[in-house]
Amino acid sequence: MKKHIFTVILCLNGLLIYSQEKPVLRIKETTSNGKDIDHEPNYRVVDPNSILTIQLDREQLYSRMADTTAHKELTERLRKLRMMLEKEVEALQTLARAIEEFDKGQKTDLRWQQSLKKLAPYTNLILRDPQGMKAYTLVRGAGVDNINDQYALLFKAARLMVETLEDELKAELKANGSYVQLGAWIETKQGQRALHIPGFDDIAPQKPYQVAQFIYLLPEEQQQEMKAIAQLASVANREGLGAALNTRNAIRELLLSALDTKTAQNLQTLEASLSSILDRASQDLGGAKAALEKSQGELLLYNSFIEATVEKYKQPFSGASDAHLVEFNADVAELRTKTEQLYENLTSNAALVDQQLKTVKGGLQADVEKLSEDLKQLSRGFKEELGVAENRIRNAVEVLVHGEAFRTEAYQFSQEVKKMTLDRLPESGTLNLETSGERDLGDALVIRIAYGKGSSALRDLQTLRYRLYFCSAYVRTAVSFLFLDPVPLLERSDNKALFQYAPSYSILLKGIWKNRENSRKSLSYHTFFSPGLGLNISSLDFDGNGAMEIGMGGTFSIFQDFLQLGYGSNLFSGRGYSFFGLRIPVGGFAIR
Amino acid sequence: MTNPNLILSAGPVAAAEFNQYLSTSNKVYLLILGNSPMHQSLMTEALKQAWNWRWVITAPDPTPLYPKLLSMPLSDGVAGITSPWPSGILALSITSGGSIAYIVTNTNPAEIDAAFMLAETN
Repeated sequence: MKKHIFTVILCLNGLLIYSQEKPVLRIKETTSNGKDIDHEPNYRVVDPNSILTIQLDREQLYSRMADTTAHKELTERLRKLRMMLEKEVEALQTLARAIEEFDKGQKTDLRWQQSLKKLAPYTNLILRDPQGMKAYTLVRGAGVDNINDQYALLFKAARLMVETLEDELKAELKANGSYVQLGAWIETKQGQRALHIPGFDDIAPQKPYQVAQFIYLLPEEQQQEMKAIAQLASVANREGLGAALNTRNAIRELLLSALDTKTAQNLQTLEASLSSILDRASQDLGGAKAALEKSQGELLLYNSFIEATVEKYKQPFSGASDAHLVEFNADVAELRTKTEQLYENLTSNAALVDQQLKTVKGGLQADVEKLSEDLKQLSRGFKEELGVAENRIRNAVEVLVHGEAFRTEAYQFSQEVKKMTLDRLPESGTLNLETSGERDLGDALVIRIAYGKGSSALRDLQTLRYRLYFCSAYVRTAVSFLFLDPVPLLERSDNKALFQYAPSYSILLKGIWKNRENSRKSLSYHTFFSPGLGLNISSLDFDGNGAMEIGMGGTFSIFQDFLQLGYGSNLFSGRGYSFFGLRIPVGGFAIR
Repeated sequence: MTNPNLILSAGPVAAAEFNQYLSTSNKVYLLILGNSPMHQSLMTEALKQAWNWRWVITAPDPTPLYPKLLSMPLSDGVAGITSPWPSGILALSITSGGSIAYIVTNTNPAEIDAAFMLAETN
């Protein structure tokens, strides 16, 4: 019984392998240090500074395009011919073996016949097909009496047939208006961006930008994280851990940090300037008065909305976590709508002020002119800042709640992506990630090839999705909330750890645990485990006297640096301590 | 070394000679059915390829062979032959197993290549 089950499994496995389609796109990655890597279909990660050569497998392309049209028979013939060509060397070796077997005097045991019968699929495919026979006659010429040459010519004829059939298919697909589009997109914190593939689109390349492979200093968002963790550690040391850690508070922090932008603060200043001008010389403002008053009213309304939102998120949360998230999302959407409206209104008010500038009297004219410029610039700046912040907080919250936050919306070809008929389609394209603009580890890269016919909807041929991570050694910093135990294990009297809490950051060496190939296959190695080894630096207060001491130690981090374990030493007192650190969603926290 | 041309006798004895050749299973044959200038030209070309397991049989008077040929099995892809014997057939290739592998209708050397290759692989 077991044997039967095993056989069935083997057969099913064979069927699966047989039915597995070959990809249309083949990727060759050239890393920034010049290493070439031929991608296998299960690769999910690319180096963020690499150059990708996208090769189009025409055989697969024609086959997929024709599969849905009336050209199935033609593509089936092409498939068989290509399979035959793949076996050329093997077939000619078989022939040589048959001749050898015959020459060895094995004329009676007929082994040579069995060898020759293995070539039947090839002779039948070419010589029983009128088109194949025509091709064979064409390539043969005169004076070919040698059996080896005849079989070699059989494969030459197969190649000629492939070319002829491809041309035939190409012409038919062209005649019915079929075209192919190849595009690439990058998904960053700032949103989706279409990328330039020379020869396939007219999209302008971005300014060259390299993702730093070795970062030893805390970037700005980690500095924010560090500040927030320092506050939390201080609260935890003072009031206990429970008061400091609260997941919902973490989400609140995200929203508040998004609203705490420089432009948001400037909005209040602007409103005050407007108010001051209106108070000072209301009569002298002429026709601009109405527009300025309108702007003031809109700024007041917007500021009160922000204040109310901030106030709301400062309060402790109650109710289910899911309900809270729904509410949170609605608030972010509302914030976006209100900001869009403010942008529109302030821009049109500024235009009105400009028109009425002549009616403003005396010295006020320069003030009002400046105010009009400020209105335009400020609203534009805030709109952009909010766009970035909104993406950041949405992504972070999605990851917090749902794990992987891969955007699933369709990747649409823009007008700049060329519709290419098969005769104009290049063999390959080059996607230089260095000219794909600002990006960071964890960003997503999507490459899509699709085809269309006339005005009918596009049909997908293949979509490749990658995440950008270094697949060789790299260095990153991480901020963590440290739980440290300053009492050495053997010196403890009550056998109980006495934790102290401290902010810390680590300089971690990553990307060293898997080789280049495996590192590209395993997404979880980067997005989930992301192990690192390095140095931890913490701000301690062992004496409890409020004077900060510095601790330094070795650390191992895992789970995207959410957990760190290590041992360090207080550089002032010389006392050793073991510690573990947690990454806490506060400040500029973002999961990459 | 080139194999000699096996020429069948005239009259009914040709069928017996042909059957005798067919009984050996370690050869494939190109059977030339006639003695016209076209057949002669075909024979000259075929003999250049009569090598190792490839043999050429010439039947200057093929009529006694027709009943046997009409009863022989056909390899996959060979169109059926029906009585009366079609006049356009110049030669046939025969597998080591005794099946008709290819029908030659012109003197193009590529046809002879095809006849032998299909006979030895089917």
